[in-house]
Amino acid sequence: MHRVSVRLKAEYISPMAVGSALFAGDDRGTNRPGEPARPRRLSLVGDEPEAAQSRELTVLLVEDDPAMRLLCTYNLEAGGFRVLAASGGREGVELAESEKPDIALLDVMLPDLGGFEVAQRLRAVPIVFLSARASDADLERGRAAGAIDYVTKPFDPVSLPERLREDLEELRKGGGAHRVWTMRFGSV
Amino acid sequence: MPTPQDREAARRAQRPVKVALGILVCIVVVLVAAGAVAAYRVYELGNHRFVDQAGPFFAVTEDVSVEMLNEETSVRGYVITGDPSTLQPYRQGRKYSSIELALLAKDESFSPAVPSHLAAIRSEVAGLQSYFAREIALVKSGPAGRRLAQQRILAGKSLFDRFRKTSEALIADAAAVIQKSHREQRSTLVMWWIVLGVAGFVAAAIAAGLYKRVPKRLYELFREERMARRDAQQSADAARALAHVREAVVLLDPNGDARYWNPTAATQFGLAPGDRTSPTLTRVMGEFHHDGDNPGARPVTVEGRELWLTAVETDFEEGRVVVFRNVSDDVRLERLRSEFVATAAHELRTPLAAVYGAVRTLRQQERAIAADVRDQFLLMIEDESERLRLVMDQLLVSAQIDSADLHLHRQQVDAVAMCESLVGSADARKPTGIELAVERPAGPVSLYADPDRLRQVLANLIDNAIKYSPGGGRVEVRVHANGRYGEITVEDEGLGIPAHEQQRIFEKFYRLDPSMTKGVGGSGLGLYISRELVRQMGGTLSVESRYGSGSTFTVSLPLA
Repeated sequence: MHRVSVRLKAEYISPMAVGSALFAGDDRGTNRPGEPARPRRLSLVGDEPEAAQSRELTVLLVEDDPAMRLLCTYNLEAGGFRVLAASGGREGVELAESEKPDIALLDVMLPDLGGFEVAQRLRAVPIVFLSARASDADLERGRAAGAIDYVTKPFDPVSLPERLREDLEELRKGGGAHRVWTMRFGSV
Repeated sequence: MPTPQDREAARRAQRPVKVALGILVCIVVVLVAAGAVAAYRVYELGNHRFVDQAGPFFAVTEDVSVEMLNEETSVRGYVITGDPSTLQPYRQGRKYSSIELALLAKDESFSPAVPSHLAAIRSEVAGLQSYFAREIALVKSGPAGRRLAQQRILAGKSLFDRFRKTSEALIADAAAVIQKSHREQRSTLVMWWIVLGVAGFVAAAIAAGLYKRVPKRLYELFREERMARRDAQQSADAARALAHVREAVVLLDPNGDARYWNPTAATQFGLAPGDRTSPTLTRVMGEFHHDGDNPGARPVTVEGRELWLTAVETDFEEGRVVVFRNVSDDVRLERLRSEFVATAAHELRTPLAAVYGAVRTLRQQERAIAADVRDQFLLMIEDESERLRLVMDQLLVSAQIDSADLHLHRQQVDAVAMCESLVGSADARKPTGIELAVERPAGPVSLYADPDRLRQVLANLIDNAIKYSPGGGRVEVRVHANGRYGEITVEDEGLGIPAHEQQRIFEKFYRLDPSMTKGVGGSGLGLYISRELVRQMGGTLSVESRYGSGSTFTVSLPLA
């Protein structure tokens, strides 16, 4: 618990002096190679995780804004997710290749690779976009990029784990990304 | 209905014509009068001719008869008296009568009766002369002869009477000729005068008709000419106006051939004089006719450039006029504007999402949040609120600049102190790897500027320098005086700006490739606002940069 909180503190950089601040990588590897994937609790909160009934899911979070990255990480971990946080697209792609996440939460506008480009490279990983760009055209671009969901800022980070879980649940029923999207936004 | 102006114009148009016609009438009158005088003169001359011809004949004939009378009287006296002195008149008459007869012979042809009468009178004169000669010879021969002569006087008398008759006939001939000539002359003169009078009357009538009618016709001609000139002027004006219209204007006949186009259309559609259409025009017309119901702007490729055009068609009897307006700039601005709205919304949403998210997280009652984590969220709320305030401030200043509503309070500003204070506060929150420094000049540099606005500009430049140095590096702020201006340069060793972007970065809403710069955020207004603020403070903001090795921004402002 103490460890996590220190990590979070290190990660949050005031946006008033934005810089490189690529701290996201140092704590991503909670599973060592060869070790069986087992439920691991990274949450700094509660003894009882909300999603204890299911196995621990790994989420790849690619978000360049430190505040948003901190918020998502904190809440997703609190919601029982294992979080792989990256501040740039390239780093996100590398992480996804080595860690095989269950779902990816991608900011659309990223410093190096854009969110859509990252989505293209993450084959077989369900994509949820996270963006402050919220026009119909933006959503349509997200759908076209193969996303299952599109979260527009501002959003309630506390309910984010729940939402991702619902998305994955719907996806498991078959029907692909289209089914989940339709559940969220209705038929196109 | 002629307007008063028209009537006045007509009067003005008529005046010189009336004068000209008046002069014409005067000339006709003078000519007719001259003709009349000339005819009279000719008549007078004719008179002289008769005086010269028939007159002398008349006189000479009378003279001959007088001479013959004198001779007869003289011879008779001699026969009676026997006094030779009485023969004096006879001798004189004989001499003169022969001369006068010779004179008459010259002019015998002026009347058909004259020659026979003249021949008769000549033989009678000859008869009388021989009678006179015999009588004189008889008287001279002695008293018997004288008696015989006296007995023959009666015979002489009858001879003389015959002569007298003939000479009277001859005189009557001449008088008849004279009278006839006089009549003829008179009738000729009358005829001349009648002809001249008729000619004068006709001329006067024509002149009067012209005087009445011609100005009207002339006025009509004037008006037609003026209207034609006005039409020509109007079409010249129209062409001139169309030449300076930025829209492309094309006049099409019912067959769809282009009849007229203005220079804009010529360049836009590649129309050359004599063309009826051009491939580009056909294509553009087709583009607009394809979905004619939609009058919106359409993208059209013209000579490799994409233009946004709108078309307005107006039909009339002889075809239609199509006006193409190039709205590329509007479309571009509209795109930028909507892009800006999206960007501004994005820039507001991002910190708002952080604030909202942090608050939502903190309010999660069922979780115990560690005190230091809670502090981080609180710090996040504070920072993101400040970021919101800054974005809103930028939007506000930008709007003020646009509406020229920005009020500057210029005063003396210590540039060195301001730079040091700004660098000091930036230093406190700089990321690791960034080194901040101020290079002070030897003396103070006082600028004439609005301190708040200048601080805003410099803070923006320093922030940019830090933002665009993701790999760290030195950011140096230098202050120095340069002539009448003070210069503040902010130099970094960061990403730099590609050469072709270096002027565009000052454009409103312009951002370097958004997916590239998103990482450091920004509304696309910072440099636009900075340059505008510096410009309004009477200075310049410029950039020098090498892509990949950093940028140097220079603010130049008047010294106080």
